[in-house]
This record gives sequence, structure tokens and C-alpha cells, in this order.
Amino acid sequence: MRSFGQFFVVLALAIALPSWLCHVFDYPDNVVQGTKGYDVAREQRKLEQADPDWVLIGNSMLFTRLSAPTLSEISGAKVSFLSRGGSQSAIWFLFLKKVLLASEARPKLVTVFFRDTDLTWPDFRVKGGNEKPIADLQGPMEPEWQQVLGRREGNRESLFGWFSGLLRDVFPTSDLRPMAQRQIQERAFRITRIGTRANSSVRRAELNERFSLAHLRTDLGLDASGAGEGVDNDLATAGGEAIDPGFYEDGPLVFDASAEASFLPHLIRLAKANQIQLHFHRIKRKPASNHARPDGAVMATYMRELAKYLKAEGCFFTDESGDLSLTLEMYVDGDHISSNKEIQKRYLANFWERVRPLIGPVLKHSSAKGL
Amino acid sequence: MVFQSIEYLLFLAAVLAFYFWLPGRGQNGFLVLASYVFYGWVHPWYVVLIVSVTLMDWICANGMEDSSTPQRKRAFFITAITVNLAVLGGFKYFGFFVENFTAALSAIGLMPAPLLLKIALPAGISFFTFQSVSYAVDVYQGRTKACRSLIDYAAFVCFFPQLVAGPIERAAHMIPQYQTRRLAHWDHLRAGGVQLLWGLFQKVAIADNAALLADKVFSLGDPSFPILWGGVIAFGVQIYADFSGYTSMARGSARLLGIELCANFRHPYLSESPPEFWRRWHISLSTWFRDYVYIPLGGSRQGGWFWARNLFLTFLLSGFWHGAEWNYVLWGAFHGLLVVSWPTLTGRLPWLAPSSTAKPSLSGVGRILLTVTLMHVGWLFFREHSLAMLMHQLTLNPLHASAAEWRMGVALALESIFYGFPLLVVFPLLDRFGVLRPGGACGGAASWKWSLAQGLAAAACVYGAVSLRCEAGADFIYFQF
Repeated sequence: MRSFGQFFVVLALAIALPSWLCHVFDYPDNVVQGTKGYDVAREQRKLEQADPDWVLIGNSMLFTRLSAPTLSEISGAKVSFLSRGGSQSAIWFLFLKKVLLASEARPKLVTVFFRDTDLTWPDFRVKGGNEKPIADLQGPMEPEWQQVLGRREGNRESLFGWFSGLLRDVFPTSDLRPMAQRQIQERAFRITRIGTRANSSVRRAELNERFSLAHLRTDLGLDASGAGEGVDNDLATAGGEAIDPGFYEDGPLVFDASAEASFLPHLIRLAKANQIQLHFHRIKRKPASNHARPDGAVMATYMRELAKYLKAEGCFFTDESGDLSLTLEMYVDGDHISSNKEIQKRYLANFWERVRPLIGPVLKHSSAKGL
Repeated sequence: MVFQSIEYLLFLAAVLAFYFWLPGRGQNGFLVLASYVFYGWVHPWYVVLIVSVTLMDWICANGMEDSSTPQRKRAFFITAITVNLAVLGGFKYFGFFVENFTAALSAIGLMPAPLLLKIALPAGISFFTFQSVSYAVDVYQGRTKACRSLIDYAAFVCFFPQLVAGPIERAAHMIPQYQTRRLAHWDHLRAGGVQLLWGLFQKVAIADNAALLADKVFSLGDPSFPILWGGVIAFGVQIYADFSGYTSMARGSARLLGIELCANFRHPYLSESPPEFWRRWHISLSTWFRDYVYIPLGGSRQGGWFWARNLFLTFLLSGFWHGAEWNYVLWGAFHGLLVVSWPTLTGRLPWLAPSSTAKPSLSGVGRILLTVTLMHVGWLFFREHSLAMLMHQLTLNPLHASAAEWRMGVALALESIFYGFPLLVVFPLLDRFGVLRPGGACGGAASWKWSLAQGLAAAACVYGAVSLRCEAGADFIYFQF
């Protein structure tokens, strides 16, 4: 009994002491950007000050492609972004409900940038580095969250969710996970850098390319459209890099419009209730060398169903994935567009040309000029 | 229910909360009940199967012991063996034989009507049927007494920590433990807890991260030589951490309940020869095949050709035990050939023979590297299920790979080795310096040094598990067997 007591004291101290120090020094939040929380009040203030006509919601697929000032310039409308690297539909729903609609800003139009099956994949990236911002955004659990993700982990009002939340509080170092995994990979890159001057980002891009769709075997039942493209690409934003190339092996294969299946119907309902026109924009993922990124049969069916549903609900839907003018050279790591000014300009022009016929009339009735 | 889930931790806590309050027989009854809940968690019908097999084996074993004539005893024995093997064969191998039989008939121009019978493979069937077979053989040969209590025997067959993926236990080791009342012991709680956490760390921080790399490589249609072998090394780390992690969690859970399970691994990647590897890897299965296949076949009694045949057949069967697919058969054959040819090779190349001293040497390191390399060639057979792809992979030319691909392949291998570092390097070193055993470098179980070492080890495992846990967690590999 005495020796067990000693053991227990050592164990408790060895767990509690680092945990306490982490909380005191706000570690690892201060070193891991991806696990930083979310200041809802500040974002709301920013929105209210900007009083935008058009709000765009998304992850790095949005903010590496477009910027609010250039879009404002080209559209003549006041534009704001609600974006976060590595975020997915659960966070986008919270952006709409808890930030935008909870503020006094009332844009006419909200655009959601997404990839492939993001919109109906509610539990994609709700854990890890996204847990804290979700907790900050959500506060008490939203009824929609309960309906969609109520029985899943990460939900503090379920027993398992409470337990995993407790674990996270006791072990703040769990937030280091993406960074630690990234560090391990970088060590391996560093040791094997013989004969190359490429940095880790380039090496990672090379690796992702080697494991991309075009190289996957066909005898394992992988759907071409849904196949992933890298060994490390499920990491949320880390170390300031916008890392969000996507990992689509486990996503939904069938479009499901029910209220329990995803946040999509809830997004639409909220927007309608607040007289906001919703627009969904599917981005083109990194194409092959012929600049094409064709959908497989399963993805094509999914997209047809999604488009039909959005149309029936009165939402706009644009899809750039079949556009061959978005060429391979425009892309850098994963599905991100290069930050090169010329390429950014090309993308912006392309995007605006595509969405203008749809969203122009909506923004016309706002304070926007020049449309 | 899988060990690395919150469900399992809550389940184990609930079992522990009641277990030690019960009397001896009550403890066994409660364990049986808990084990059936554990086993039937996903598919309740599996419980019917295991109850039937248990009941039948218990009746046959008692029948053997009570038989007045050798013929009667033999009849019970044959019944027990036949039923166990039929259950195993029916669930695990029926589809394989039908598929291959149909293919063979088609090859000679006969087109039989396709017989489609998809049977879900109950988890752990290979483990509990082997345990039951060994019991029947031991009772028949008089090595162990038949267990008179159905509850005790059922606990032996279905004990939840080892039900799904072993270790494959023997009745002589386990049943006496069930026949005495287990008392709550602080040392058991401490040692079991640490072992459970160590297993959890191996699974979620090492195996799952390595699996991510290995799975990616094996999903490539056109792997180059270095990338393929980078993936194979990742798989080598994965399968060791996965199975060793499972075993640690099983042994830790059992120890919490006052039951001691046998060890299944002894640093296998430090083996200096393939035969030594098999004395260190999945020990409970290797010894099972030795005792119930190799020795009954004649073992090494007749020497020469018969010894080689017996050994090869044993490995072939061991491969087939792992799965009803040709790649497992090839894997078994590969290891059979290695082990059979090793004495000849050692005779011709004396440096291959393990040194008699425990002192580390350069040639020892060379032997370890050679053995690890050969084992990884085996892992390629094990991991790649498509024979056509396997042939393609075995003929890849290293000279055809670009420098970038070599960098990628080596980086993949290094990344998995970094994940495996605590298991592959730190753990053996701690073991060698006696840090892991009470009475070793950290003093006896009652010493404060030992408490300190165990407390720090447990905390390190917990921190490691939460900080490196792979989100894309996979099932234990050996669950499918």
C-alpha cells in the first residue's frame, strides 16, 4: 500500500506539474498557431465595423485564393472574410451562427468555399487543433450541433465528450500533436537532404505528389475522386503555414441532405431566416499535368445531388473544378494557389467572371457600387 | 470493443469495481459474464458461437477423463478436435477453399456454379479455438486435468483481455489461477496500470502513426524500390508496436484482475537469426505450433530430411493460420525456408552463428541487421495481399528509382523508426539495464526508487500517447486473425 501510494504520488505529480505549468504559461497555445482559440467578440466587432455586403466563409482554400481588399476592389462591394486554416463545415456553421448572425452585421450574401464533400462531412476536423476554437465559438452546445454530432466525441455534453474534454484540459500538450508529427517528419527530411536544396515544404509537396491520385493502385476499391493525396495532409494549420491540402478517403460517398447528416441544411435554414442569400463555391483541387481534375463516378453523382439540392433550396452554386484554365502551374503545395501576384490576379479574374452573373444582382441592391 | 477506446477503459473500471468484492467462483462467473459482454459488444451472435464451443469442449474433456476405455476417450478427443477445427475451418477457410476449388475447375474448362457464401469472421476465433485444441490435447495426453467447473473453464476460454488476440494460453497455466480467489493487490494495480499505459502508447503513438505511412505506400500502384521498402519498414514498426501494444494492454488488464498472462514478445528485432526471431516473436503461437504440430509430426527426432520437412510444414501452417490467403501461405513458406536453411548457412558462414557471450559485438550488430532485413522481406509477403502486385514489387529495380524517390523512401523509413524509437531502442535498453524489473537497477518493488521509476514511466506513456496519438486510429492487425 505504501509503495502504491508513492507510485501514485509520483504519477500524479508527473502529470499535474507539467499540466499546471502549461496552463500558467499558456503553452502550447503560444507556440502552436493551429490550436489557438477563437476570439468571438473581437471577430464580431470587426464585422460590425466593416458592415460587409458580402461575407466569405472557408479555410485556407479561401484565403490563399482571394483576399477581402482585392475582392472589394473588383466587386465594388464591402467584403469580409470569416476564415480559419484547417476549418471545416462544423466551424463554418459556427462562423455563421455564432459570429455573423450573433453580430449586428447583416450582409446580403454569404459565400462558402469548399472542397469536394466538405459540406456533408460534419465530423471532419472537429478534433485536435480545432477543439479549442470550436469550444470558444460554441459555448453551450448548439441544438444543431447536438442533432448532427451529438453522439460523437468532442461534444462535452455527452459522457465521452466530457471525458475527452477533461483529458484535453489535463493534458494541454495534446495540442502539440500536429506540431510534433510535423517535427518528426522534418527530422526525417533533414537527414535525407543529401543532393537537394529543397526545403521541407517543397519536400512535403513532392511527397504529396508521389502519393497523389494518379499514382494510386486500382485494385483496392479506391474511388478516384475521393482518394487522398499525401502522407501528412490531415494536419491543420501549423507553424504559420497554411497547410490544408485535404484528405478525402474517409468522407461521405453519398449525398445526404437530412438534418442529422450534416450542417448544410442548418446553414441554409439560418441564412433563409435572416434573409441572407447563400452561395456555395466548390474549388478545383490540384490538377494533373494535363490541368484536369476529373471527378470519379461516385463524386460526380454526389455533386449532381448536391447541386440539385442547393438549387431547390434557392442557393447559388458555382463549381470551378472542371475549369482547365486553372492550370497546374498555379498550384503550390496541395490544393493551394500560389501567392505569386500574377497568379493571384488570374485566379481573381477567373473567380469573379464565374460568380458575377449569379451574385451581381444580389449585391446590386446593397450599398455596393460599380456592379 | 477495442482496448484503446474510452468504452474499454470505462468497461474495465466497471469490472474492477465489482470484481474483488466477489468470492472466488463468483469472480469467475462475473468474468465470464463481462467477457461475453465484451465479445458480443458489436455482434451479440458471436457469443452463441463461443458458448457452444466452450460447452462442447468442457463436455468432451470431462468425458475423456471419465472414460473407462481408451476407445471412448479417443472418441471424445476426436470429437473435440474435429468440432474446434470445423468451427475454425468453416468460418475462416471455407471461402478460401471454395474460391480456389472453383478457380481450379475453371482452369481445366469446367465452370461450376458459383457458390457464394459470405461468412463474417468472428474476432479472435483463431485464438480461442487454438486454446481449446491445446486443452483437449493436454487432457487427452494426461498433461493436465479436465476442469470440472464449467464456469472456470469458460473463464479460461473467454477471458476478455486475451480473448481477441491472445496470448494463446495453456490450461495448466491459467486454470489454477481461476481456482483460487484473486485479491486486490496494490502491486498488481500498479504494475498492471503501467503495462496498460505502455501498451496504449505503443498502439496509438507508434503503430497508428507508422500505419499511416505504410498504408499510403501500399496504396500506390507504381511504388519505386526505395518507396516500397520505406513502406515495408513502416509496416515492420507498425505490426510490432500494434501487436506488442495489444499484448501489453492485455497483460496489464489481466494483471489488474489478478491474472498473469504469458509474455508474447522479447525484443524480436534484436534477434541475431531467424530461429531466434521466432523464439522472441509471438511466443505463445510459436510454442503452440512447436508443441501441437512440430513435435507430433516428429520434431527433430529422426533428423535430416524429416526435421526439415516437419519444420517447414509447421511454418507453412503457421502462415495459413494467419489468414486464408496465399500471401500468408507464402509468408509461412518463406520463414520455413529461412529457418530450415539457417543451420546450413551457419555452417558455411561461421560469423552467422550467434555468439555465446552476451557482450555486444560488431558481428552481432551485423547479424541483427541481417535478421531484421530478412524479417522485413517477410513482412512484404505478409502485407501485400495481391500476388500479382507482390511479384511486381519483388522485381523492382533499385537503379530505376530517382534520387528524389530514394530521399522519399529513406525519409519514410526514418519517420517510422523515429515513431518506433521508444519501443525499438529505449525499451530494450531499459530492459538490459534492469530498470523494468523490480529488484533490478531501481530496487525492489517496495522501494521508493521503483515507485519513482514506475510513476515516471506511466506519466511518460500518458503524455506520449496524448501528444503523439494518431487521429486516424486503426484496428489492431491481429484482430482479423
